[in-house]
Amino acid sequence: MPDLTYGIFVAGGVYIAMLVVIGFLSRRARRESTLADFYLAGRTLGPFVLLLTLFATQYSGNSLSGFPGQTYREGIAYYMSVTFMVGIVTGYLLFAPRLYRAARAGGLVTPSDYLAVRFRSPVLNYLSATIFTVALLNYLLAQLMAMGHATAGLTEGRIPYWLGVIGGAAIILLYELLGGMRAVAWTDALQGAVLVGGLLLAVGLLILEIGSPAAVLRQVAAVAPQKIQSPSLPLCLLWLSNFLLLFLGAPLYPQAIQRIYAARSLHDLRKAMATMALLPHVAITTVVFIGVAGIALFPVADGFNADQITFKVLAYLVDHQPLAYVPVIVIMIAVVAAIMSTADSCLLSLSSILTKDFIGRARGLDGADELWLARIAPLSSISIMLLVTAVAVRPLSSLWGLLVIKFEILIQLSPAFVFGTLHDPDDPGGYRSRDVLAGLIVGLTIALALYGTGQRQLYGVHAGVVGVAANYATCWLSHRLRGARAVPEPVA
Amino acid sequence: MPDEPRRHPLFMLLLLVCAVGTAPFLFIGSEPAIVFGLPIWLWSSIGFTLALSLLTAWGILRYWHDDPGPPDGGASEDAPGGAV
Repeated sequence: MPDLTYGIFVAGGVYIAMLVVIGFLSRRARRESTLADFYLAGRTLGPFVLLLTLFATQYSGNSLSGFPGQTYREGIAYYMSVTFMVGIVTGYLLFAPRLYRAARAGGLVTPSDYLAVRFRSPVLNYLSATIFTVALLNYLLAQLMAMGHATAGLTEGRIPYWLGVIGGAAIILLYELLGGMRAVAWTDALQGAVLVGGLLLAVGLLILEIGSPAAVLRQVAAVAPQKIQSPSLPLCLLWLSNFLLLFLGAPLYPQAIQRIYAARSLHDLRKAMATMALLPHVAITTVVFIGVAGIALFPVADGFNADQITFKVLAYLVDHQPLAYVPVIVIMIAVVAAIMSTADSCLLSLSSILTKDFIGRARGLDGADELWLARIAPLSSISIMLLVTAVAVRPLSSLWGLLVIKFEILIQLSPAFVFGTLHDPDDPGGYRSRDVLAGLIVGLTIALALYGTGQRQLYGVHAGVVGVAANYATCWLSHRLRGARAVPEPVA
Repeated sequence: MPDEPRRHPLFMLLLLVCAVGTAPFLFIGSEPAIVFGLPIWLWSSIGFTLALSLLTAWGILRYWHDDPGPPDGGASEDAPGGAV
């Protein structure tokens, strides 16, 4: 196989230089020193940047290396990943229209800002901010660790894991401090473009080398027929459970909600969202195809982990296709781009939650003190990045185990947004904070108890989905009972 | 009058049908018959997933809009304009 390291160093250097240049350009575009300008790009994102930043944020490094790995393990039943990625966009329909309107009317910056305006409960504010923080810390930590592994793998150890983590973290921090959300969104646009380009190149090369999807499936049927079998009942239940988990949980990621807040207009937001609903058919089908091609090329995982199948397939292409050298390097840079674009969005959201939801609310600051909060926002980003980088360099397995449950707890905030956006804050018939808190406590307790006792799935249904079902039921019941008690006696 | 997709029960019901249909329950235990190069259960999942995404995109463009703008007939920036 030709040595890719030189090409990766050159392409990686150009890519990093472009990120830094974008950081400086976005700094020049800053308009004012406010939280909305730093964390939401002054609510000026147009449809194209919005689409690419939504895309790059939602498709992490896991989508490019984890999904093909899962397909390689489970077979084409992992087409379910296309379904649940569409489900994320469908999930927005439950609350995003009202959330966007509330964000415009109330100048909201963080997801907890909405809950503060809607429910006026300090307990719910702090609890939701804590849940968002735990979910995001996990995500950021996972991305930094993936960056360390990716750089070490791509450079064949010339850049060690720890240097990949620290270097990647430093670059992200640099452009984020320079331009805030504007820099993150603009670099996401570059990263999204590299990602789409890389995926399309991968599919084109694979079809050239090993044939059409139908031809590849014929090979799979010959070498591993169990990988195209009809899914079993537990697998179908897992399919729906995965869908529900992503449908209810993923739209609640703070970085996704903040992109709704950051849209320039509803017209732009709708265009970006509608396009996002169609993208999984291109992007995720492509990564599933890479996994299926991996089964055809390497029916037995001999001496490698299934999650490395993307790189195994790329190495095969370089060996067999003289034209593949440059495209494969683009694809490899796309993997790093996917990781960085998710990490930078997580960092920015974490910073906003620390600054606004914890520091701002603890000090009782109101709108007049926003200038002070905007000044400490970069310090929040630096503190968070230092902390997470330190953990990523020497990950503690016990901490990692705790944080893996991000979705199981994040999804428990779903009723607060879905039921919350059914009514205006002053509507006497609307849901109250006690309804939402009761559901949240029941849902969290069930999800964590199931998880803690090793029952991550019940008959294929995730612990978090069981918890959120109880959460919704409790919330609804509490609301109904209160409504029944509040009915006045009929006057004779 | 502002509108949103979840105010339309038939639309939401269709989304639900498509979402449940993506999981190939109807093909559990059946032999993977190949049609045009793909197992038939995969065609079914692809069809429902495609329907789900098209319906979602259509619902966003058709049912999600805010106030149509000033009373003089001029459209605001957020108006649906030529909404599908």
